[in-house]
Amino acid sequence: MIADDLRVQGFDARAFTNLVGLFAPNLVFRRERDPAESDAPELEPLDAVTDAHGGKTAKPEGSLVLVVSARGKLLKAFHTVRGRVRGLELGAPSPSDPFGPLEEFVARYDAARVIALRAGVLEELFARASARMHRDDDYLAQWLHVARAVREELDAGRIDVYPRPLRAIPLPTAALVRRALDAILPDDHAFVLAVFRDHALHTAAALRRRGGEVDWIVGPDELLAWTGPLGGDFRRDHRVLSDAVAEHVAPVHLGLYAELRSLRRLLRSREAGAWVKAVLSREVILHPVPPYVAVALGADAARRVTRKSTELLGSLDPVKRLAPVLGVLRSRIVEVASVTQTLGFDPLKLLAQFLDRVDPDEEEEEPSEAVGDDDEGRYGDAGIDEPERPDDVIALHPRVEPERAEDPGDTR
Amino acid sequence: MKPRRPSARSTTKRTPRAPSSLPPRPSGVALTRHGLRVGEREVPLLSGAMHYFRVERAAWRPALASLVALGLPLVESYVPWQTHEIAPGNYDFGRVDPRKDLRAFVELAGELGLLVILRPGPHINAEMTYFGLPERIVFDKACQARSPSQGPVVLGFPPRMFPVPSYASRTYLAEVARWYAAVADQVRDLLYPRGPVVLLQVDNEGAYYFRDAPYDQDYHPDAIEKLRDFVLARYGSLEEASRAHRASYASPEAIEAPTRFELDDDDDASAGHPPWERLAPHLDWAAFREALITSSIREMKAMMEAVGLAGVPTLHNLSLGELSSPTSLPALEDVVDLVGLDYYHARREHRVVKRRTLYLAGTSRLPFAPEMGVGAPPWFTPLAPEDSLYTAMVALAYGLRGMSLYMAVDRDRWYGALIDARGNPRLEVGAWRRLIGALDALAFHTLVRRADVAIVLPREYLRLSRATHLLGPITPVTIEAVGMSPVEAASEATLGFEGPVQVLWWKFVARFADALTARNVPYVLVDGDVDRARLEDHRVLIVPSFDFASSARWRALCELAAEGTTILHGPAMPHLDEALCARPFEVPRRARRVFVDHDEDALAALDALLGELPGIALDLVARPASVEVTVHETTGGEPRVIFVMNPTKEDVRASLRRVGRWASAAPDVPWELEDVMTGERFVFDGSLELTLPSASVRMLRVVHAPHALAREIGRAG
Repeated sequence: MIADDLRVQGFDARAFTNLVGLFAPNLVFRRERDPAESDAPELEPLDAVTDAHGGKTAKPEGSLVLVVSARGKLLKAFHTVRGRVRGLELGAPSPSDPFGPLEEFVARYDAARVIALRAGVLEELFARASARMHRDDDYLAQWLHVARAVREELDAGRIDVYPRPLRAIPLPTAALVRRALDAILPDDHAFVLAVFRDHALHTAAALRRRGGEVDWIVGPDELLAWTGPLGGDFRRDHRVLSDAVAEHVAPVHLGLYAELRSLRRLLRSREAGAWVKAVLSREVILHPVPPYVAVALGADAARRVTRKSTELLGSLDPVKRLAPVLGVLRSRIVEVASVTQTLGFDPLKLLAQFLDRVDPDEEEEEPSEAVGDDDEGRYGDAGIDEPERPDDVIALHPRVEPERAEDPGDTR
Repeated sequence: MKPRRPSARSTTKRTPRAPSSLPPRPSGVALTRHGLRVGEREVPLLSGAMHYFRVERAAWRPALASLVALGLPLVESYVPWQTHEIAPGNYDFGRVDPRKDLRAFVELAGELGLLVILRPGPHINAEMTYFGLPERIVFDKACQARSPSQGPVVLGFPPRMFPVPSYASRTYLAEVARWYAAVADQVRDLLYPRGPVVLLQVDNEGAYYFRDAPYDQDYHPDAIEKLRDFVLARYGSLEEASRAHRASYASPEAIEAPTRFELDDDDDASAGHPPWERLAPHLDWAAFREALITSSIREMKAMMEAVGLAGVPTLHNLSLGELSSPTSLPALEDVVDLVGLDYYHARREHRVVKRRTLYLAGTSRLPFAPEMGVGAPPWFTPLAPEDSLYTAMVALAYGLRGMSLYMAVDRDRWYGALIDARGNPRLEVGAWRRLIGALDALAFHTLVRRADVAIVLPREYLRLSRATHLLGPITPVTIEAVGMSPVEAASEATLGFEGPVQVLWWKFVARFADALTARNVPYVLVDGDVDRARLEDHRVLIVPSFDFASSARWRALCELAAEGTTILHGPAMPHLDEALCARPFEVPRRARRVFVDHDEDALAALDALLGELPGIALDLVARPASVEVTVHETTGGEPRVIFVMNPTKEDVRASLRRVGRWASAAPDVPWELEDVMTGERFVFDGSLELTLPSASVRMLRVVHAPHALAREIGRAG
């Protein structure tokens, strides 16, 4: 899926962390955890993690890892955030719980998950996956070998994980993923994402697929160098961005332009019709709109119309406005199948579930508090106090010597 | 080449390794205690990374100019084998692609007044596919490291997993020699004084390519051959090796590498043989894997010298997780002149940055960060600009004396460099320029942070922790690199001892580290492999000790104790040597044996010690207790810089108080302080109140402290 000669360029730290914050906010959470209290933290036998009132301290985080010998003896228990765990005792194993019930440990140690494994299983698993790899395998295929080996060990009861949210997700083959990707982003085409916040660029990226693999990811530095100054209104700027990417990267197959708050909400939304409503109200600009997106929007709208009728769409007349989209739906039904049915699961739905799980309270927060919105987060700025722009947005112009280097001459 | 006898490595009395005692090099470049002596001047090791081969040629000059404007005297670059080799034995150094003109890059840097550090690998990582090695090398089975089943050892880094090379493979090393010859042809005559190249790095992040788990690798036939030599050299004879390994070796070929750690508390118990009796082969394997990297780097350095890449100091860097790494920093510093640590940390990892720097300060010749992360690879934990600056300042606070900003200039597969791909400074440059300007103005590289106390990290316990690692290819280095302790995934099996030594030794260290911090006592962490001379720098040595210990180091501790050093150890008196053979161990003179079952035990032991040893150097006292303070002084004892750190997520109002020698000399005379980042001025007259935002550091220049104070302190010191 990613090319050997993948290029990733043109991101400053702010733009990159903002981008990651959109799709993998837990990585940002991890960065902002409380500092450790000891170099050798540990939890005593019945140290339930509670606050001063005996309640839960915070949302569960980290993993409780249990390693068990072939004879069933617990060799190690540690929490990836809170350290060594002493005195933990496993329950009686059963066919469904090869390491005994794990559920109770989630609550007791305030862990997001419990991972139990037999000593030596990881070595064997990696050796097996390595042996299956071919020199021509791409990174996706390589990881699928690992994932398959993990699943075999899960099935054999040598690894157990609680909870297992991906239990029902079938493991696709690399060929299937590639075929699905063909529909999403054909070869020699580009995908553009530009996210604005308060009329300034929050983050942006263009991604090109070539030879079946993503081979180029370009960040705001390059994009702004190509576009020149932007106006700050994504409803207008999207054309300039799209043209620039078409000229320098590849013809744009799908462009997604939105305000941060809207996009964050949509990425987490499981509400039928949310996307189509955003598109129709120009809260989000999709340009161009490839057939599969139109189909997806049509399906989304159809669900919405069926379930909730028109009242939630406000003054819009959805049926009328959606007629062309629904037309595409009928004609392109095959392409829907090419993504979701090819994979056996809906990747967008999975993403929404994931995002909802990692920061379930997000919807209730003000935008300025949102993860990824504000890289100051709960920390100060550590002395970086450049006043030229807000911390979390990118200048809307190419970097034309904001602080031009002096000619070093004979300064040293 | 046979590995050096490892027992000779540890604590036998040798010539002190003080950097200032290194012989001057004919070229006029030498590593000093503070930086590089280049001709007549001493240059601090402050550098910025720019990968010429990833920057358009037209941007070279503006990028280098921006780097000069940042105040850096050095520029650093890898020289990637994979990029330059277009066919076996056929290299492009600019003939085809102008970005690859290494020679032109070095010359341009020199023209702009920069000195140059070159890092020709062969391994460079640099987020390159196959870590910068040519594909033909990576997929040549003769070059590949081997798993216990003789399979390849695959590393899972993007954009392609690949089988990592073997440090022992003769085929691989022969290929490396050819690569070095090609590099030498380009830059041999650009080494100082004929050119600006003043430092050369030999290989990179020597730690088995992040497949460092004890039984991951290397079972390459060339490695096994070296293992046999190593074991024989360690024990002196096959008979002694057999005794230690509880085996009957009929010939050296009978010595095999262990392939997994299967000792369990229940094993052999019924037969009256505790499991530890069979530990020696595992500890030897762990020691051998350190020695293999050292010997491989020694061989590579010799290859460089053979082709004319000689006459300037040499360098090696260790990645995150160095305490878990099968690499000995002191042993490597017997091969190259300087070994540093790479830093990529978020602000929440304050403790890790502190711990790593204290280790560097206590162990290396010159505390240097060959890669001080400014930005990060896209597949790394996302780091904000504040993370990078905070990390650098905390490292400086705890004793770092030099660093290379990595990356200073933007490039492919990176985000957050200070200078963009066109050579223009990004907005974050301002803060870094202020910091570097302050380091320069203060001659920070010449200052010292006095530490009378050292905690010793015994190698034999580090090795046992690695040998008992339970997560296989989720390796010890990986575990430590993501912020957990170096013993986090070590088994809890007691192996017949009173407790799990592989876990408890670290707990001992951590408790004393916290106690020393709580009492404002500056300390460093000293690798158990350092020379005895290095231990002599400290008045107090805190040493975890369990049933077994290195007999050579113990002897050195006894000698030091006889000479007046205070030894604080515990919880056990060792009675077995590192081969787990019974041996009498002398009790060090006036040694204090301590039991630290609880955090307060370490505090109590420390308080008792401080009560009996007056004059132990103290930092300033800060309140609240979460605020940390360090003081850096001239060698004459004059305070020059005070760092005040708030590692918490809350803003705090901190108060500082002068104690110890800082209070006793001229107590009524105020110090004038200036925050080098904000320009704020303060008067420190016995106490001082400061506001510290969350996760922030103030670097306070001592503008004025009375001369009388300096003289007084100098005498006391």
